[in-house]
Amino acid sequence: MAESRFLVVRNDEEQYSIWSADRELPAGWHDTGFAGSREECLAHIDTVWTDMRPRSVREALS
Amino acid sequence: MTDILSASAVQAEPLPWPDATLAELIAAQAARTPDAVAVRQWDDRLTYRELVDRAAGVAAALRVRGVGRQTRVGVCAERRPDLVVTVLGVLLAGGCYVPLEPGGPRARLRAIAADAGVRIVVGDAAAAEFGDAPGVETVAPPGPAPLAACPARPGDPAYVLFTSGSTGRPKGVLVSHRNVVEFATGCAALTGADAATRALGVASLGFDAAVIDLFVPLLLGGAVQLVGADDRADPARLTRFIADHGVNFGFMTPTVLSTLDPAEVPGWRTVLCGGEAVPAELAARWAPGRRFHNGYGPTETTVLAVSGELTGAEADPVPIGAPLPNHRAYVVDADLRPVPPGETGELLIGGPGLADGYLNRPGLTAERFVPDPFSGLPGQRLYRTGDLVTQAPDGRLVYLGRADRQVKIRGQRIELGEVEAVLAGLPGVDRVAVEAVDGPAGAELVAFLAPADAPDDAALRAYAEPRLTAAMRPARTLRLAALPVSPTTGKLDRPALRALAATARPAPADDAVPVGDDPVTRAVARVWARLLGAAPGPDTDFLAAGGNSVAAMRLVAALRAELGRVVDTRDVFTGRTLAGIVERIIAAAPDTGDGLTTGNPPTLSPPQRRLWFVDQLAPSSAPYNIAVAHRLRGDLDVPALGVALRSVAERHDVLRWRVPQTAGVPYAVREEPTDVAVPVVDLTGGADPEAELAQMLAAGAAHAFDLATGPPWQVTVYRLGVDAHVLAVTWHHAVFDGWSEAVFYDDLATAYAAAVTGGDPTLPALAATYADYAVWRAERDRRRGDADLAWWAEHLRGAPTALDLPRDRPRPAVQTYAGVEAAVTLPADADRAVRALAERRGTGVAAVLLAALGELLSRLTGGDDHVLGAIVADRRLAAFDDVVGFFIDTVPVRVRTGGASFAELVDRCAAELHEVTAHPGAPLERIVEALGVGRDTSRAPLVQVLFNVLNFAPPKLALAGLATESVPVPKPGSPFDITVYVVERGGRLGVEVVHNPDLFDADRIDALLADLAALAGALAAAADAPAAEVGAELPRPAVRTARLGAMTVAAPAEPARAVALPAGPDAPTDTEELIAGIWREVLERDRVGVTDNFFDIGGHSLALAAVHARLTAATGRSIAMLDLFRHPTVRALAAHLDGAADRPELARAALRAAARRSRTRRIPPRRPGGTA
Repeated sequence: MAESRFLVVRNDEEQYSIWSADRELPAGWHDTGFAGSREECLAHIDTVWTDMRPRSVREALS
Repeated sequence: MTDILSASAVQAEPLPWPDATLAELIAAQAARTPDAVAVRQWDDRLTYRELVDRAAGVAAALRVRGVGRQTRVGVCAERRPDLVVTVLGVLLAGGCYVPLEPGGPRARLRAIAADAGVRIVVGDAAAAEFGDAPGVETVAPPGPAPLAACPARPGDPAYVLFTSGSTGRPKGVLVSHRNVVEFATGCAALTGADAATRALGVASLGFDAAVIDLFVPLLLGGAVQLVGADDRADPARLTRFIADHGVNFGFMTPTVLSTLDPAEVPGWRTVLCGGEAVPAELAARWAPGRRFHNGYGPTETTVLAVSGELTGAEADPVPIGAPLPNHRAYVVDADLRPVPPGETGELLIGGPGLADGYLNRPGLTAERFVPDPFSGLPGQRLYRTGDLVTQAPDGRLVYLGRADRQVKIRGQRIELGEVEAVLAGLPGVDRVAVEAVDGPAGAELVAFLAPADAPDDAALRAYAEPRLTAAMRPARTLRLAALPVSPTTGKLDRPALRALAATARPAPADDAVPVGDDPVTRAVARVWARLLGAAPGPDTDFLAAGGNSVAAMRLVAALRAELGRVVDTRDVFTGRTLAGIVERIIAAAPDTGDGLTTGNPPTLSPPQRRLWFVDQLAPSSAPYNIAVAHRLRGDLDVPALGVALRSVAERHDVLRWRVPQTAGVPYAVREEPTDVAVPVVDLTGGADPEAELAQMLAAGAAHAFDLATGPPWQVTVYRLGVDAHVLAVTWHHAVFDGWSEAVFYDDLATAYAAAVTGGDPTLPALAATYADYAVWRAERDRRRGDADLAWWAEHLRGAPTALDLPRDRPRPAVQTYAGVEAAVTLPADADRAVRALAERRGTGVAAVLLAALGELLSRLTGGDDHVLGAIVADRRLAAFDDVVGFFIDTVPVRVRTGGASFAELVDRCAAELHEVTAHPGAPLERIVEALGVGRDTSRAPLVQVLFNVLNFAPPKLALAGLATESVPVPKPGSPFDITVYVVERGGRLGVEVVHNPDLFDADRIDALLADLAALAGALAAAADAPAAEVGAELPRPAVRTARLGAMTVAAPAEPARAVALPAGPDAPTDTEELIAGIWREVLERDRVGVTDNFFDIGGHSLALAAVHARLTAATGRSIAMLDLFRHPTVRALAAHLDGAADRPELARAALRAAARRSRTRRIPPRRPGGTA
C-alpha cells in the first residue's frame, strides 16, 4: 500500500500541524507548501516551528 | 458536515469564563475575603491575605532575579502550606511553574529542569535537591511583601507538566492561565463547588489533578486542605485528615479511593474520581449519598475534558460522560474520520482547554494536535487522546483502553516505550520488552530481558532507580534467552509476553519460609504473602516481588491492624527486603504519638470488662484461661525461678492486678510486688506419674481464677525426677494473650539466667504499661468509635445473628463452656490445591480455608450468609510490643456464599478478613448493641463460631542450664460453640477446633473436619466452577443432619417462670417498682415500662452488672446474674424474684421495704464507669 501523503499546514495563530493531502483542508488552516510522508512533515515542522507560542501571545509580549 | 450527524460527536454548552490570570483572580478573591482560610494543614492555616502577601514576597524575590512573563521557574517544595505560597508566587511574578518534586529520582528531576530551561528553583526543598546543580539558582520562600500587579496575560503559560514520553524522554505540556481558568470555571459549574468548598489537596503538584485541588477552591474563595506527605502515604491517616479537615470536595484516583472507607468520611459530599478507569464496584460503594463524578482528561486538555456523574448502579466499563462546558468530543477511525455511535474509535477533544503544545517539541505537537474538520470553527485544533472510546446509546462516552502503548500504573500515565528505552541502556541487556499486566495490587509492569544471563534484579534496580519514577520501574523481571516473536508478523509477540508474565508469577522458593519464631517477621511475611501472592524469603525485595506503593499502603495498614506496630510506608521502601523491613519495624522507637500517655493508674480496657462480665455469668468455668507447660531437664533452681517470676510480675504490673467491683462496676487494683509462690508437686512416688501429670495439667488449666481477689495467674512445678520437672503456668485471659507468651518467656529467661548465677534479676521498666493501653484505647475508641460502629452496622446489615450447626444435643438453656479438641490435617493434594489457589488469588491460605468453611456452613444450614468471629490483636502501637496483657478483640466476619465460584468466594473472604481489622473503635459489645441482637443465655451473642487465624507460632521457653520442651495442655473450655484454628503442622495445613461437647459429639466433629478438609481441596482444585456444584457429596449425611430433636433449646434446669406473669396494665408491684427504679438510675432514663426489654432500651452487659449489684444490695439476697439475663423485663424479673425466693413472704416484705427506701431517698443517677 502506498504511503499516505500529508501536508504541513498552519492556522492564523501560526500553529503547525499535518493534514492528509487527499482531504479538504479545514477552515482556517493554510497549506505551507511542504508535503511528504507523515515523518517527513513532522521533521519539517521540527525545523520551521521555532517559536511555539501562539501568535496572539507572542504579539502581546512584544 | 453531513457525515457528522450520524457520527459519534458530542458538543457541550458554552459557558463564559473570566478573561484574567490565575494570580489576578486569586488576588481579587483575597481583596474580597482577606480573613477567610485559603490553605489549611492541621493547625497550620493561611488566610487569603497571608497567602497573597507571602506569595507577593516570593514574586518579589523572583522578579529581582529576572523572572517575568513566561519565565519557567522550578517549584521544589514539601507538601506544606508554603507549597501553595510558592506556586502562587511564581504566577504572581508572571512566570510559569514547573513542578520538580523533592524525593523523586534525581537524574530524572534534573533532566526535566534542564529540558524546561529552568534556571531558578524556588521552594523549601529547592536547596536540598538543586543546591549543587550547576547553572541553577535556588530560592527559599522569603517573608511577605507588598502585592505588585501580575504582568502575565491570560494566554501566557501557567505551568509546564512533564508526562511520560514514548521516545524515552518526558514531554512538557504547556498549559496557559486561560486553560486553567476556563477549566476551573467549568468544573465549578459541574460540581457546584463554591466558597464553602473545602477541597482535598492530595494530588502531587506534578499530576494535573493538583489544579482541581488548588485552583478550583482558590478561584472560588474556598479552602485547600493540603495533605502532608505522611498523611498521604497511609489510608488510616488520610481518612483522619479528611474527616478532621471537614473535606467536602476532592479528586482521587480509583486506586487510592479504594483504600478508603466512605463511611468514615461522610462529609465528603462531592467526589471526583479519575485518572484511570473507575470500577463500577467503586462507584457503587461511594456514590450513594453523595455526588460522585467520573472525570477523564489528558494533561493536554487541562485536567478534565469529559466528565459525568455516576450512580451506584453502573456496570463496567462505566461511562466517562460528556465533554465539559465549551468542549467537544469526536470519535474517529485511524484516518480521523468519524465512526458511527456504538463503534470504537479514538477520542479527539476540542475546546479552550487544549494546551498550546509540548515544550520544544514542535513535531510531536503537530502530530497530536490536528486541524479540526468537524466543528466549522476556523483554525481550531483537536487533541488526539490516543484513547479508545465508544459512544453509548444514551450519548455518554465509554472509555475502552489505550490506542497506543501508554498504560496507567497507579494513576500515572506510563509510556511502555520510555521504560524500555531506559532499560535497554543497561549494559548486558540485548533486548528488552515491558508489558503491563494485572498484579495483586493493580496493574504492574513486567520487564522481559534477553539474554537469559542479563543483569540480575539488584543490578537492574540500581540502574533504574535514578532514571525511572517508582511507577515506571518494573515490578518483576523475567530473563529469557530470546524474546518471543510472532510467526506471522515477525514482530515481538506481546500477547505471548503477557501470558508469560501471568503464569510466571513468582512461586515461594525453598528458602521462602517465614523463618524463625519472631512474631514480627511472621506477621510481615504473612501480610506480604497475602498482598503479593507469594511468601517472601528474608532477602526477597518488596518491589521486585510485585510490591508497589498501593501494596505498601495495604501492608502498612494491615501490619498496624494485625501487629500493632506503627509502621510507615517509608519503612517498607527503605527496608525493601523482608529482613530489612522487619529490622526497621523492630528498630523503630516506641511510638508515643496518637494520644499515648504513660504512668496511668490501673484501668480496665473494654475487652477486659467483657471477660470480667463473662466471669460473672459463669463464675466456675474457665473458658478464657491460657495454659502452657514445659518439660525442664537439668538442674532446676526453684528459688531462682520464684525470684525470676517475681521480676516478670514486677515488670508487667497487669499480672498483679485484681478486679473487684463496686455497685456492679468493675475496676482494677494493682498489688505491690510480692514473692511468687512456686508450689512443687512431687509425682515421683506415684504409680503412673505421666498420667497424673496429664490429669493435673488439665485441672490446672481449668482453674477458676477469682479476678476480685487475684492473682490472675498461677505457676506449678511438677517433679518427675531429680533432673526432670514440668513447669505449668495458667493465666486468666484478661491479663494475657498469645503475643504475651513470647514476651513472658523472654523476660523469664533473662531474669532466671541472672537469678541462678546470683546476679540482679531486675528487668528494665516498660516504656508503657497495660493501663496506658487501656487509656489510649479508650481515647481511640471515643474518637473513632461512632464511625467504626457505623461501618459495622452497615457491614452487618441484614446478616443473621445466630448460627446453628447440626448438633447432637439440644442447646442448653444456659451456655456452657465445656471444650473438647479435635484436629485434621489436609491431605497432600488438598494442601497443594489450597496453597496454589491462595497464591493465584494473592491471598493467604486462611482466606481459602474460610471460604471453604463458608461453603460448608451453607451446605449445613441451607443459608448463604453467615457471621463468624475472628480475632484481632489490637497491638497497634510499638510501645505495647513488650507489654504482657490482653490486647485481643473478637470481631464479626461475614461470609456470603452462593452464586459464586470458589475463587470469588476466596477473594471475598480475603477482603473481609482484611476489612474487619480496620474498624477497631467499636468493640463487639457495641456492635451487638447496635445490631439489636436479642440477648440469649444459651449462646454467645452474634458470634458462635470463631475463626482464629492469629496462630502465633508457639514461642520457645529457654531457661539457663535446662533443656526445655513444650508439653501440650488441654484447652480448658470453649467460649464459643466451635473455635476453628488455622494451623500449619509438619509443613501441612490443618484445622484444629475446640468444640463444646454439650452440643456436639466427637464423632460428628471428626467427620465434619474430614469433610471440611476434603471440600477445601476439591473447591480449590475447581476454583472457577460454581462452588455449590463442587464436591456435592460433601459433607456426608451424618454431618449434614442433626440428631433428632437436637435443634432445640433445652428446658432450663430451673423453670424460667415459676409463677404466671401478671397480665394487663395492673399497678406495678413493689418488686417491679424497685427493679424499675434501679433500671432508671443505671440507664439514666426517666421512665421504664414493666415490659420493656432491658437490652432494647439501652442496656448492655456492664449495665446489667450494675443492676445486679444494686438489686443484690437492695434486697440482701443472692441473685444469679444469669437470672437478669433470662428475665430481661421488669415484670418477668419481679415475678421470678417473688416466686423463686426461698421464703416468698419474707422476701416480699424485704422488697417492699427496699422499694419504700428507694422512693424516699433518691440515689443520684450514676452510670457505670464505661460502656461494655
